[in-house]
Amino acid sequence: MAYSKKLIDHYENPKNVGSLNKESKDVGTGLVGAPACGDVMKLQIKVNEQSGVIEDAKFKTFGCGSAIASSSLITEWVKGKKIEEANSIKNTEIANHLALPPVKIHCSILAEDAIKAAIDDYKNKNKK
Amino acid sequence: MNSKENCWNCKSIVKSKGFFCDHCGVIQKPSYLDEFEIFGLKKEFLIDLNVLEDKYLELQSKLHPDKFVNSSQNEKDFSNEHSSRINESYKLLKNNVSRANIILKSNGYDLEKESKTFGDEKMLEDIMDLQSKCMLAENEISKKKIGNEIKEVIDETINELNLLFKKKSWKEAYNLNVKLSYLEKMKNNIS
Repeated sequence: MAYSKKLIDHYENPKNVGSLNKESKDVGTGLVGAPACGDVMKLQIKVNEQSGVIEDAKFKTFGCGSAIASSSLITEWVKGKKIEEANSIKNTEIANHLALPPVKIHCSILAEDAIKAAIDDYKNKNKK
Repeated sequence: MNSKENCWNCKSIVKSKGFFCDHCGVIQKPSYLDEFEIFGLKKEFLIDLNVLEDKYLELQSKLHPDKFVNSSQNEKDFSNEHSSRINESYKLLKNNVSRANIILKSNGYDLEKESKTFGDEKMLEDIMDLQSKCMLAENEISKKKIGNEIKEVIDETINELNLLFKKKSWKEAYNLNVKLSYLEKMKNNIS
């Protein structure tokens, strides 16, 4: 199985690895897992409360190269986007960009679910 | 349906789930047995692995294709089918996670098919903590330490899982088995 250059770049040199303060009001955290393959992904966003723009994003992923590349890519994509825009990113866009093989599509689904979970967490924290 | 219960060789009635005809002693066409039934075990999460192994060796000593090199094509085919099914079932029953899965599957919870995302945060946080420790363990001593910690958590999880199975709390057992599958993978990665 040959992996794409983009995927290998993200895997070998992942962007935005790390974490943000989970307790902070302007940080949303999404923690998701894929039982079938044993991946765990934590994705965090820091949102500007006035503009609703995602100013920073960090991730920590334990899993295969595709899962790491998917989370690295999505953190790059969401930075500078409004939360609504970030919420509409589809896993197929990630899968296409990285040319994920069919057996690794679930890794991109995990990344989409993680960003959605992070956005939900941020919204819940900032209700009213 | 009658033909199913008759021996293909001597036509006498055979027990529907037997491996051999009681009358002429010839190997029978495999009828569907689940993994536990093959080894004559009760469908329970905790099984005696020694009993499983003994039964496995006993069955293979009678049904393995090596025993049928000079037999008819029918007998060879049946032996092949029995033998590979026995191997496959043995492998599944030996492993805690896959054994739990067989029971869960028969009650409507299928881990293998569940490709969807899992979001029990507390559990995933625990798993991530352990995974971070694994990553940070650099020398043999710290690897051994975290390896032992994982083993302890695995033992606790197995006990807890056993109680859930006894209570037939399938949903909770399913979730805990997900945790166990993460833990077992981690154990294999570190050792």
